Amino acid sequence: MRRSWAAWLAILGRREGGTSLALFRLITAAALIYNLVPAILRGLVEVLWVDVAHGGYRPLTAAGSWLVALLGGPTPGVVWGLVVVTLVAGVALLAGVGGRIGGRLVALVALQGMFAISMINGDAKGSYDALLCNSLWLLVLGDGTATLSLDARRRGGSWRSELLVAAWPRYLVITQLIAVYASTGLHKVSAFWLPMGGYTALYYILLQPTWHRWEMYWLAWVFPLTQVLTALTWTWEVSFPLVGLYLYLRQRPGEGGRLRRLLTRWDLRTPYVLFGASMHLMIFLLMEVGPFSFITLAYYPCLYRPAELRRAAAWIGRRLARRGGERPAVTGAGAAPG
Amino acid sequence: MSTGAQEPGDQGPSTPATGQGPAARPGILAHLLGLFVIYHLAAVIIQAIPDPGVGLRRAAWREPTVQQEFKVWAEFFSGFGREVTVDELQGRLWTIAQGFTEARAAIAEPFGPYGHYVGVRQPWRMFVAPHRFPTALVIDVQEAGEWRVVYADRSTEHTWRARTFGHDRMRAAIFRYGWPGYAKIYGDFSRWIAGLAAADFPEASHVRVRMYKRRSPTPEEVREDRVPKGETIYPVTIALEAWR
Repeated sequence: MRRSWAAWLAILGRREGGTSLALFRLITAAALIYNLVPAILRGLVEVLWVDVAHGGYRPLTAAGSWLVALLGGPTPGVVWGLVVVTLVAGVALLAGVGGRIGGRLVALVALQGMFAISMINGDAKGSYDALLCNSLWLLVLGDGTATLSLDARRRGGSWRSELLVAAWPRYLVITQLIAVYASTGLHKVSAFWLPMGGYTALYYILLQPTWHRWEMYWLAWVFPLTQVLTALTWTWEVSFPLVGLYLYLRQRPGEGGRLRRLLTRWDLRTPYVLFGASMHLMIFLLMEVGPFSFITLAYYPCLYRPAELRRAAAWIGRRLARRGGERPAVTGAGAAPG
Repeated sequence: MSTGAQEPGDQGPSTPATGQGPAARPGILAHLLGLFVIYHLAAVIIQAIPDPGVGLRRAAWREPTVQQEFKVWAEFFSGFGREVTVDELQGRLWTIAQGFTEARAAIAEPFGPYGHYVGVRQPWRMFVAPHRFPTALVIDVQEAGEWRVVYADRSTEHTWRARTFGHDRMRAAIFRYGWPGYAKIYGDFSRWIAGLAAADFPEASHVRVRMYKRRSPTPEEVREDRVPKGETIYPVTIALEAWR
């Protein structure tokens, strides 16, 4: 027990470059802004989140947010105050200001603002609100401003920094992503996601007027493709924990039995990330489901250690340079800071 | 939690904390962090366990979309040698789902405050099942005794206030109001629409808010141009006098 606890504390003591968490911060902040700005531009702030007595469309006296209750209820002043403060915090988060402590406080303000707003009207909230709040909490726990931030530029004159950050918040980001996909897969108990329903779920979901961007009867002519994608989506979601298992097992390469060697033989992340990114792109193109895809994709860089991201960036840089007929600007894994 | 300037190596997962060699004794903060991260992980994993309680409403179970699910599952279970009727399946599922919901609520209880105050919640009920009988919001106004459609979901012709009704948050609300159990809020929603209509259509005497419910066509029906006809449900007609 004592040895296990010591091993656990050793894991929590690990440190690494800040690039993965910084990318998570950047995309999360952009998603937060994207979550609020269209509602403002379409004049929906008071319609959705203000009580009917002040211009909203429904009574909201039993608001689900402790903060809104504390502030006196969903009146225009309270709601607009929350929206503005959250938006400003989102911009500050995007810029990466505040330092190790202040940056976390900015994330906390953004979290509490977004959480309060989203809990006011339960009918007008989406799963993306919950995911966004989880993302912001993870940015309170981890230092997302160490690099790719105004802080880094002010500190060292460069947008990038080699400052090390705690690795455990990135592990929590990965756990959260696995929980989202596995849970949503396990929720899909409809027969239409499975063979007994003919794998017809995606076809019928894409016909629903609530979610599609335009009428999609053309799917009837590519129906077998929707069946294949239904089967793949469900399997991909429920099996996503394998990515976590792979990341855990690969920490001791060469150890263990045949199953361990099999699971760590190939980088499982690549097919899962490629399928996930394609799926989210298709959702974004075909459906109107808010910023869900955007928020989820913020988690993907954290599946990789900063050094791996740096190698990938160097590889892409070399490919682009070769295509442009120039000498590559970045020639090695160690050429750029993490 | 000191910071260093050395980039972590690629072979190991990450570097150990600076100044924390194998012999270093972790301080009280490290132990508290260890406990907190365990609590957080437990909160995430336990709250992510599917919660059937959200859909445990008899009225919702009577909806044709849900009934069709039961029919397919009853046929599937009947394939194992003993006939299972839809009623029998519903009865058993209701009991199992109630028990599961209670057990889940009990183990998730310690994480309630974490969700309520911090916002760490795991509601991942996304596209649980396709809605085979979806509804679409339709709004008509009456001018000089004649009704005309001014808005219909995803219509390119009837687009009054489409920017408002087409926003994803509004779509989420409209989706819910097509299900039973939202009569009161649907009434509030209709009255709010009446206020907008009174301002935008000065000649109109009435507004009618309704849901158009239609079974989604099978691929064969689409290809053979046999798209089923739908029906109007939940019509609410409101005189606009009060807003003028």
